[in-house]
Amino acid sequence: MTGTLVKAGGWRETVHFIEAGREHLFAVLTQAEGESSEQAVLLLHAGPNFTAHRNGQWTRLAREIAGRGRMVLRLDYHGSGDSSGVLLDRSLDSQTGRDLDAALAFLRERGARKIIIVGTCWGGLVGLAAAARVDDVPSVHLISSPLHLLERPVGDLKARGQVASNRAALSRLLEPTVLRLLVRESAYRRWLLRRARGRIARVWGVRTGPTKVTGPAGASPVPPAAELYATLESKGVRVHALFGRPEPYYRELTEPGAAPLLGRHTGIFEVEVAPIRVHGFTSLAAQETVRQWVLRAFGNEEPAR
Amino acid sequence: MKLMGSKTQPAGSAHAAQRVDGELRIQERATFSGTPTDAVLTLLHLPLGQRPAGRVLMCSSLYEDLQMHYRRDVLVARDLAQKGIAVVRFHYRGTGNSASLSSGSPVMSTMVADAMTALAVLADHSDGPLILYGGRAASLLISELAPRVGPSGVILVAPTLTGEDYFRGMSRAGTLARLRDSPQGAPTSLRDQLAEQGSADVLGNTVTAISYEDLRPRRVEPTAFRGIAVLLVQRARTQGLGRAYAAFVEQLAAVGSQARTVLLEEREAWFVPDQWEPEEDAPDIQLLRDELVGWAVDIMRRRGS
Repeated sequence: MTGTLVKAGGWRETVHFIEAGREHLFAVLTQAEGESSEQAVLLLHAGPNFTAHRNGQWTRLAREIAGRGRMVLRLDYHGSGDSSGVLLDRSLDSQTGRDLDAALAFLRERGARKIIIVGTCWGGLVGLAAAARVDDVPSVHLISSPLHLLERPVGDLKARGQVASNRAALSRLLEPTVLRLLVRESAYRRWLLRRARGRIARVWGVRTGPTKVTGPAGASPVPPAAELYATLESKGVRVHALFGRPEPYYRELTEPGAAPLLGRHTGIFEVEVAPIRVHGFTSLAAQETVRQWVLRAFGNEEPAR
Repeated sequence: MKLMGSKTQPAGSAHAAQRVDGELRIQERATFSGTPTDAVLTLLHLPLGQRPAGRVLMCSSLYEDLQMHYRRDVLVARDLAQKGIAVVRFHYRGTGNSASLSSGSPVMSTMVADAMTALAVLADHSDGPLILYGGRAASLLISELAPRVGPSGVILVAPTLTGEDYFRGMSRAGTLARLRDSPQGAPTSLRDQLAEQGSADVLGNTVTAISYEDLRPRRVEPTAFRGIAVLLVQRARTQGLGRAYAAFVEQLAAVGSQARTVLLEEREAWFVPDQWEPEEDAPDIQLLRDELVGWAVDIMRRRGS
């Protein structure tokens, strides 16, 4: 047993479980061989992925960045990949916030002084929120992140993962097909009971059985972007966003009136638009576009040591 | 005993990440196994505080399946560990977080070698009855492995019975995705891409000609499971057992294999179609977990007694 994956003269990789409150987060750390850099990179996926991401995109990128002298961590949030827990709440703080804080602390403990966050889709938004909480994230790179959702109130269901309303859930429950299933299938009854528990937990913030509740249930009328963008601006955080022109998230963001707050903070944003879809890395061309875009951020400069 | 916690082993021993989950009463250990430059990521799931009653080697599928079913496999592995069974999962070299391959993507010989590396990790923790688990394309691997390792049981989840079928399905899915992304562009078939470029882009996954040519002619051989108990899971929108699976089950019976079939009807919206649904909440995943674990425990009990 080796325990470490090594590319001679390039990088070495180790795996870790990072404690984040009650959860254990699986992560892979890639470090440059030799003198370690004070600059680190945190790679975040979108939730329904795992550390390597599609086609090993994060794995290859981490190794390439580490080959340029940086330390790179790729992370599974709680409830995703090989981490513990259930990923129920997709708001930007709560347990996911704790996940990010634990990952940043992990990198600091290993000598990181500046940490760049790269996140796809929802992972980018989570990264933005983390950057506003700390002082050592100089830039965040968002890949096809739904920035327009940050301009809606916190309680907006769409910002919390497009969960159907309780009223809609109840009316669906009373449909004949569902009632028939309830009568006939014990497996369906078991599943429904568990699902109802999760819903109750989300709504009232109580713990019911094995489902874990993370985060507040209350709605705030203030969009997350209002405070978030102001904080990022005051900290001097640069936000680089990459979209694919054909993507719905880009179209929604550019609709008139969709993102007035973003318009007030254009100084911190640098938006680049690719001619192809980059969301989810669903083509090799998208993966190469993202690779070049991320690596460009490091330019030819030597990392701070 | 501390019932929750994660740690990294001290210097001097091989690096491994470990966590203890007091709630599930399991422990997990992740490490790179094999030689440092050619290592395989192995993930071990063990019952807490008891000697495992048996072993399961879980072999994941490839390409898009790897990402789609990743969390499901983690959940099944944890369920089995909770029931007193040691489980090892792994990433084939050339995929996920394991070392890259000079051939780009896996071929049968590298898959078999990686499976044997993982099996050796499992052997350190249990010498009880062995079950081989494979989803989709991994069924081809299980067919190769079974005569070599003599398992007590085999679990095949939505198996592709021939390599030809597997790549045909991938090619169709890739074509549909390309048509969706660029309706005006003429989609290039998997075969044409391989002929022109030596590799193909299927839903953002790199399929090399070497991998394609190696895996395509392979098939799941019923004779590989002579006298072995087999659980075959069909996931489909139809209710009856598919024709190919029905013929396969007949062939299994002819070689003295006890085959049990489970039909999982895919239902996307049993209750409320929330757009974000944790894998833990998906109804067919829950049924699948119940069936697999119940069957595996039964096999272990019968072989152990």
